[in-house]
Amino acid sequence: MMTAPVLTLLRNAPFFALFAAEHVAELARAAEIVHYERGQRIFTEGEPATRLLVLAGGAVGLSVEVHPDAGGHAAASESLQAVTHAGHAVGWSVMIEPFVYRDTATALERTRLVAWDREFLHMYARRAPDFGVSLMQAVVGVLGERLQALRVRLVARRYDDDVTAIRTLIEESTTELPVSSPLHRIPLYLEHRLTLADAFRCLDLVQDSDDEVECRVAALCADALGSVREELVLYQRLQAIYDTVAGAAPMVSPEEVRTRSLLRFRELFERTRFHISGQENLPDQPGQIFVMNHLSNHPDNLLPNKFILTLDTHFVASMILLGKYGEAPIRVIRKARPDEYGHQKFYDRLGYIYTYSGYVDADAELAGASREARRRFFLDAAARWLCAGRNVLICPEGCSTSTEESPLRFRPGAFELAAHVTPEPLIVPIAVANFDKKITRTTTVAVVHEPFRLSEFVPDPTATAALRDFLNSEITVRFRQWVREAASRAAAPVPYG
Amino acid sequence: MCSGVELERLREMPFFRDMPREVLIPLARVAVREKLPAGHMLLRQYDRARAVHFLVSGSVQILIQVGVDDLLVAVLDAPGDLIGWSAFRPPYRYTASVRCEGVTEVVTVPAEAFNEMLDLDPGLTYAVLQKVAATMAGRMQQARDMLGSALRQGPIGSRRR
Repeated sequence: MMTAPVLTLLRNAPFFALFAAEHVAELARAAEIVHYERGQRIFTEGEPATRLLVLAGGAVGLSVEVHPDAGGHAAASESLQAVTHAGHAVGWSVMIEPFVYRDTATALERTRLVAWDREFLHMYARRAPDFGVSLMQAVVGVLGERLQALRVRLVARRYDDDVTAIRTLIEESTTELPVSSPLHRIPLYLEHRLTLADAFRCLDLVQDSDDEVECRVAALCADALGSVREELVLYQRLQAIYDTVAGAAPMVSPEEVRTRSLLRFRELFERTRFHISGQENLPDQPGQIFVMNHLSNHPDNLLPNKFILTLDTHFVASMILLGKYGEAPIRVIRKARPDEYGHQKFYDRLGYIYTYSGYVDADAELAGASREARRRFFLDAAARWLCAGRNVLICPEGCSTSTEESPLRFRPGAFELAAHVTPEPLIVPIAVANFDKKITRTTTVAVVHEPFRLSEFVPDPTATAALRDFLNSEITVRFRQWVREAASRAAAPVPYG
Repeated sequence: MCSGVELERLREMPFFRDMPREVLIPLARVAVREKLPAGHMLLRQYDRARAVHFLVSGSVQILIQVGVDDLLVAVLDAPGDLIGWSAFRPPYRYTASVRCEGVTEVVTVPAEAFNEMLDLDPGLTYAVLQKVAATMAGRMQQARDMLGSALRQGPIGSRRR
């Protein structure tokens, strides 16, 4: 083993800052370098603690098993902290009775650690008691930081407010922090969605500060705000997708804009926890009608221009249909009201099929047209796409709701469209769940069900009563069951996509 | 109510059980046994950690200040529990307040007496710090248990926008 690089690492490691030089040299001689791949378990809560480890490169996630309540809920893994700075220690349980790991450590990326066996540490501490004192002082130091981090999380959870938790942490550290520290600004930055990025920029900068307390408090804040950072990244990606579409140059075709936006949506969803099943039910050939229940958007996704990008439809379009058929489906979109500038700017660029309901711009194509004329317009436009071999994606409810309430009553348009086209296309049902939740804190689900032809259930689609009966008694009831099943799949453990 | 502490009484406590008799004599000399009423603040968050307490009977609440509130993060009721681990770790300031739940009896040892004892014997310091670390690990476990029972309601910043 190369002692010199290890010695350099240990000399610069905060964990060994108070150790005498001869002890650091002895540690370097006795060290073993261990490597872990992303996702690999380093040690597991409850197992005998056999090694103390110090991060040399990469990142380690610490988590514990929590038992939410006595109500029969299964235990879940709670992420505690990410150790990302070289020279920081994990596995301190090796020095504390009963010598059992108190948490689970997992490599968050390809990770390199310096390790020492428990026997060596205890033996050397007996032989050189001042080493033992330094070691235990370092362990007590780490424990104090971990306890403080846990309490920050507890405050955040009890008060349901990360800002309060961070303010508490900074107040706790006020006596030690420089008065000019940028950390005093963090609670203010956290108050508003649009200044969240400033908070993280500030934390990232301060973590490299020369002031040890500032550095430590910044790291604690960053850890406590881990899920908030994920939410911010997601939000920034939504902003970027919006700009990709609304800001696309005029010479770029709607087809190209659709594809670009869906590719960016794929990148976004691939960072989230999701479950897709039933893809074997997707027809081999395109030119079909895909119907899905429509879920409300989480208000945290609201863009500064008051527009929210729907996540469920973009998930189905990007992760399922673009993946299978290699092209963006044509969606059916409600024509924006005149005051919905953000909506107009986005969807006007995508060349989707508009449906008109209520008041629309006086200069719009169908302003003043009758209800029947608007219906014919939709049917003809969608039929042209289907006949051209393109998939059409429709949410038949015409509005959205929560997973728990979904689906609402289906409107007949999507099914009338099936009857309007020759040869009759397949109708492919896709049930979705949890897109109304914060997608950084849930598992989203989409399940493709067996396709059918409307004529199998409603031989004469011009018979309004028969179609209505099919919608109310058959398809809505089935969909309700499918959505319940989709939601229950989210409860099963699913790895990150 | 306040009284001195007999050496043998000190040795009965788990924290001191394995320590040599001679090192405990000066501690017993300065240690004080106190019976405290319900609601008494044994120590306050942010204060300099000048004493270490050991629970004899009763129970204490560990509270952290959150704005104008005090958030309960743990309850200690096991005889022998160490209160005030901050006396062993920089910046030597209490990280939480401790309040007596009911009538509570504690043995209080000035931090300075501990320091004098530990300065003389690194081997003993090593053993003491292991016990302090075990106490802190126990507090972490309690905090985790509370974290598990405090279900999260929602995301950051309901006040935003």
